[in-house]
Amino acid sequence: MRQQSYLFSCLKSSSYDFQYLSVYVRLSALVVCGFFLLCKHRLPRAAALWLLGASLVYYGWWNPAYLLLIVCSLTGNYLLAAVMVSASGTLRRMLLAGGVAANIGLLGYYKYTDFVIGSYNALTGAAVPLQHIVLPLAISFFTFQQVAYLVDCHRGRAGTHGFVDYALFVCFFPQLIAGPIVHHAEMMPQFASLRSRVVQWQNIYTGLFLFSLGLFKKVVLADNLAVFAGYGFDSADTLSMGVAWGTSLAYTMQLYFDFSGYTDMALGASQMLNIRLPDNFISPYRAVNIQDFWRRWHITLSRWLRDYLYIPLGGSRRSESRTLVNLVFTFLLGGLWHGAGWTFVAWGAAHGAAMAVHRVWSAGGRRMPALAGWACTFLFVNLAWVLFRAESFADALKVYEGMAGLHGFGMTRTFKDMFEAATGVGPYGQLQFLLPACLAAFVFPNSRTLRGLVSPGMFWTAWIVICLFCSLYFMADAAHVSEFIYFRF
Amino acid sequence: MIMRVDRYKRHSFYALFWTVGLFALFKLLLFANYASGFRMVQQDALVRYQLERIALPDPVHTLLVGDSSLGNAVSAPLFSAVTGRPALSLALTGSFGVQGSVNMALRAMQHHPEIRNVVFFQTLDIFQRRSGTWPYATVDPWCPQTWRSIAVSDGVTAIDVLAGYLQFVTDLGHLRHGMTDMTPELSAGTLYTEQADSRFNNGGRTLGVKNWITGTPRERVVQALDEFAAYCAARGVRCIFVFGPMHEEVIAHSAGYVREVWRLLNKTRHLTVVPELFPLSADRLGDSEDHVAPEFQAETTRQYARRLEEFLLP
Repeated sequence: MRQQSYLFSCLKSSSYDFQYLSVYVRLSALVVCGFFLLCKHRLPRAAALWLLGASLVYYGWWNPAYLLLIVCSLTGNYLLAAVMVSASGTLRRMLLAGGVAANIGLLGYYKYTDFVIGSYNALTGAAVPLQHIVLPLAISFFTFQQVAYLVDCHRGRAGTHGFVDYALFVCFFPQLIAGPIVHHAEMMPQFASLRSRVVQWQNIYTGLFLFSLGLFKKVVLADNLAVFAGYGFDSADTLSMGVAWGTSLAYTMQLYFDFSGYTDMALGASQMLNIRLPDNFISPYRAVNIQDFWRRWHITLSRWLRDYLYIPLGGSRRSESRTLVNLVFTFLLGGLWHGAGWTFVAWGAAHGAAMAVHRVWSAGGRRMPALAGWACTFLFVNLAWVLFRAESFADALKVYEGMAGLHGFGMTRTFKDMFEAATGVGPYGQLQFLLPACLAAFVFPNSRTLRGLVSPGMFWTAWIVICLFCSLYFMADAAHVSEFIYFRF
Repeated sequence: MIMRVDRYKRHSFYALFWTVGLFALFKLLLFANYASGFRMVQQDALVRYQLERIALPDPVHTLLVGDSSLGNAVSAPLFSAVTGRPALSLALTGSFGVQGSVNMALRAMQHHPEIRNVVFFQTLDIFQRRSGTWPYATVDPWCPQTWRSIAVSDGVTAIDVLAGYLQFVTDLGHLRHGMTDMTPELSAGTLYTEQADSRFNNGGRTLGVKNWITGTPRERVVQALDEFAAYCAARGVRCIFVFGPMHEEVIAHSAGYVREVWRLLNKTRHLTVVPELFPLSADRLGDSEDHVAPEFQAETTRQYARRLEEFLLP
């Protein structure tokens, strides 16, 4: 059983997602121009407000009613933090507990109510009606950022900041919807810095490069792979071995290019505004063990879970068995953070268990050859993504059965015909996107490396033009663009 | 240092200028593609052939649109003879989906205001299929908004735009070399594309578990078809839906799907539905479980014509 948010169904059933991508691209251009225009006329305060306004407009584009939620949330947290800083002792602890509970409660209400009710119904046979609560966009992201801020205020590590800087930290539009999950210590000083208010052409150029690369990853690679992955998962009953593996691999690559593409766009748009966001991906599919994978995949989430969950639980400072329990528990919650469904919990548990196994294995001083380690890690990650993507355990099982060859090895004509009807290129046609995607994930330099190499010249300019042109070309057909996967978290 | 900053500035502008310029040029070419009449619909030779038949001056009373189950099962001239009403068959393939048939019907109704009946003749699993990515099926300007939105939700790729564009280039090449005849290889007997040699009735094809239809029909597609039926009704045209023939074993093993299809079809308000399936044994089937073997086309045509007669407007 898995609760899909209303947003998810909206994204699946309309061109809403396309609108969001289109708005994102246009807004980025408009905001950069407007920001520096205001800065040029020595209106830095107005420029900051311009950024904040644009961020709120972007958020409200989805559903203006939810603007109230994010504004109330960030105002409440800001005021609470201000009071907490001046309080001490028990009151300070109580304020923190109240603040964290309120944030988690809000997230829980919007994201997990139906999940809890559905699980209760399934367990007891009751028929409590589901509430069908609409999940506000990005609530998982801004909740985590604000909880971290409150905790650091309590620890005396946050300092004092102006409201606009704080509001920008929470809802800065390039990373508002799908991260990276930023830390106040790395963001607010940048918003306050004068350096960020002068046009820096190096940042514009590099930002443009990152933005175009991200857009290309999202629109050209991820969205085309989405068609194949989606069709495969929708026809899980009939997947033969080769097709099932192709489907899982297509989703593995889709997820990476979708999410890292969005991150690159966020990094690029921010860099044009002279704001440096943290890296979120460093070639994760080249990881040689599962710990390495989590140091490369969604780095800012791993950082948050480590600093605000794993370490407070005791981290590795206690007994070995307690450390393993902490690891698994952290990943269980990490899985649940991704979505209100038991498949997400199982996905988190699988990764937690893998981390525990890896820890036990390495504790004995055992090492695996890099190639074998990479193969095991990638195989595991690929298999686990099936759980992440499937609508239910039954669906996941069907894909696993297909991968195990229980549905046969070759493709039936019916499958070929229907696949071709759905994708236009036939089952083998997916290789035209899957192979370059694998090549890019396994071999090509990642965007962090490329960012360091970019310099003004025809090669890089041509690269930007090709990426942007191809992306715009694919975006010209609205039917093609699918949602950012991480929007729904 | 200043020179380096200037280079960053200059190349930032280059990047934007070339991107905008190239994209504008691309848009211009696409526009020219549409405006010149070479539209993307010509991607498929079968579509081209059927479009040419729409343009013929012969009057049409009953329009048959659908997929290959229609093309293989029904001979329009014989259907006309049995029903006593001039019929035109514009069969495409199942890859075009129901929207392909809708597109075809819309075009034909523009050219032939005398049409009184539009018969959708589709294969059994058509309501399960996702939108086709052929330009004609989804991108064509004729495609009504409802079908476009279904295509959007299906995540149709933009490859079709590229295909359409490339076809434009191909068409230009053909024109330059005087190759204007793009008529596909048609069987003189069935007036539809030739079937493969590997058939059910010669043992070349067999069924397996994978051929059973196990999914669920897509309600939105049925609703959209009903919307089109309302459109027809407003113009005094009756819109009829009938399933094409299907291998009897496939029907027997697809009970859940079939039940759900009837439930959805029974909910339609404007569509006239022929309430039965047309199972065929393997010895009458050609190269697919929904293709009548050519030698049985005449017999199947008569069977359908007699069954449909009571539903057709005079």
